[in-house]
Amino acid sequence: MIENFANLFTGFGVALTPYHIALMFAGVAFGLVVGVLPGLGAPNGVSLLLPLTFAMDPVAAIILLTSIYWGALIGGSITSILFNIPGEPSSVATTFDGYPMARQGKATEALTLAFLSAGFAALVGVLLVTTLAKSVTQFALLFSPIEYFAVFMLAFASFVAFGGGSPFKTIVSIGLGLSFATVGMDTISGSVRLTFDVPDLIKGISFLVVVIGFYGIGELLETMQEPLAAKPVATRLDWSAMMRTAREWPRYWLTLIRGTLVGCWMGIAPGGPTAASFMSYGIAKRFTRGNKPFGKGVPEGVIAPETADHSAGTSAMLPMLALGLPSSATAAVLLGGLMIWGLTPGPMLFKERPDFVWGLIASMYLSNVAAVILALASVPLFARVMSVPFTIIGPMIGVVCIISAWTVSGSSFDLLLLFIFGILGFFMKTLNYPIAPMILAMVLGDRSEDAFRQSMLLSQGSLTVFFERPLSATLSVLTIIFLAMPLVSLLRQAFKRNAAST
Amino acid sequence: MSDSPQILNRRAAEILFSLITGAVGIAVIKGALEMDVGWTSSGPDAGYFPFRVGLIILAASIVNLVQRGFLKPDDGDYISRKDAKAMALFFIPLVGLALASLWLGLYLAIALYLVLAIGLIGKVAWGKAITIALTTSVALYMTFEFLFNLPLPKGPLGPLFGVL
Repeated sequence: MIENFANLFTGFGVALTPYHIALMFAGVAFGLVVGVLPGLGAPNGVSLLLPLTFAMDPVAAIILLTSIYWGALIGGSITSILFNIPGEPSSVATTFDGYPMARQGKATEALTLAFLSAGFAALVGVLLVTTLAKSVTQFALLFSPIEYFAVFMLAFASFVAFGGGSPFKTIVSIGLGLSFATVGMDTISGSVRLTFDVPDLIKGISFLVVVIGFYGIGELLETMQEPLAAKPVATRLDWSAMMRTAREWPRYWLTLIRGTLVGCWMGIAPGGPTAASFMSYGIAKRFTRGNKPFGKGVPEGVIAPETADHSAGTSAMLPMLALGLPSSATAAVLLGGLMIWGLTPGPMLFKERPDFVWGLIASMYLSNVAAVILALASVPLFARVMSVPFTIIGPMIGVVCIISAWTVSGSSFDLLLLFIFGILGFFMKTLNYPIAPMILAMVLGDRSEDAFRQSMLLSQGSLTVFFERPLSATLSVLTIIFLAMPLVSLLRQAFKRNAAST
Repeated sequence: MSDSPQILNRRAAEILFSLITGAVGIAVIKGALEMDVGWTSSGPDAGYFPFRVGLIILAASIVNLVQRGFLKPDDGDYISRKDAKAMALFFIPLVGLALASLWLGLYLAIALYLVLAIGLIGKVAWGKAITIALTTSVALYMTFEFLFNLPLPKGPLGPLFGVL
């Protein structure tokens, strides 16, 4: 515990250079823009700039990219409240009460509550990361390939069980992600797999192109289908209302703490910010006293999803760094970045690159504060950005997608993949196939397969190895329970239908 | 959305997409079968993992097909003719931009694309469209070439950029 805070101070020493602080503000500002604009969100905001960081120092690179993430998370809430358009999937739940509040002329109140709660929750998340860092890395030392494979499967299984929507669609998403990851050279046997004699596929499919296609082109196509009817509500910030709201804000301490806890839990156990914000909204709706009209503009309805969203976002950094296990699509992209910079996540990362790990953690304190301040200062500006017609913004975002696909590896084949994944992304999004588990599966694909093969080497081909040691057995049993849940509910439905028809 | 005739309703789209994912599953299985899907002395063979992933995709796609196509069909709106037109008007020019960038270079292609997409399709005044296109192109050039030091293809205009 004390060691963690000693490390944190070293981290502040790394993070608090003028260059890094400038990167934080630039990242947050870029993230805000990305979060506000439709068709661009945290995952592709981060992947747009990832190719530019290949040549950067990893510490600077991760500070820049995570700052984009925090900015995008907050940016997503601005449009949710002012325009009823969630800039991010994780801020969908914020629209439920945020937009009604804004319609009633309480936009300032809603935004102030959202930003303060987001900032509070993010800081609690970072504090949690700081205090748990040591114990989680020690826990991670217990992991052999057997446990790694079991925990990856558990991550996939928890998307199936708790992702909401159809479990079989989630399974298809995960399967597609794993197959995309398999394409190309097999690292163990050296054979070329699933290339279907297309030479360009030998080097594999970059997950960055997939992310840009899905979240960029796919989302733009979706937006074309339902043109943005942005009906901005009054967006002038009223300073006295802001101060008054800030003074009243601590009164919602129960919702704040509850939402933050839900978020921290969902961030560390793979669930991600989107699931966390919905879950937190549901809990607040059910347990808030006084029969409040949720959905018609109650402050708790803004605070609950915002706190969960942001604490999940920050606390997700811990399993990503210590286990290489991202719990959100954006964390998956960051993890991909880590590998590109030549860093291997895991307990050794904490030993070998303390400057990287603690520099990142320290930067998270500052960049989240920066995100709240910049967000408050820039609301009027973003309200104006949103009033630019989509006929202008749409093509501009299209251009950004093309350029970023090009910067991934400078190959024209990636452009073709971009369009294919764009169309695929449109169908998946509109038919409710979840995209985050697919990105996760793509990033974890090679590592799950390697872990599986190494486990099989250790056990000489016996699958029971996953149930032999207590840790892996627990993980495997949980995986089986999670996977069985949709099957059980399917059987129950069938049973009910039979009972009803007789 | 509702006054324009539907060209694809939700049920048809669900069926179509589950057939597509099923086909991907079959392709993955076929690709894996080109290698060994069993065991070697050094553990699972190269095809082992993809083969099983392919089977899972295929099985889950069949469940989706049955559920969404027959057990719980939703005949609601999905893509109307108007939607299709709006999407094509966005998508096709963007493909055009990608193709044009291969021989015109990115910056020139982007400028041309933006003029057409904003001016012709977006029906914004030509002067404004041209201003936006040129500003964006120059700003991108400055950002990538100087700020990020990341040269992008410039096509036949390449030598010209050297002079600047």
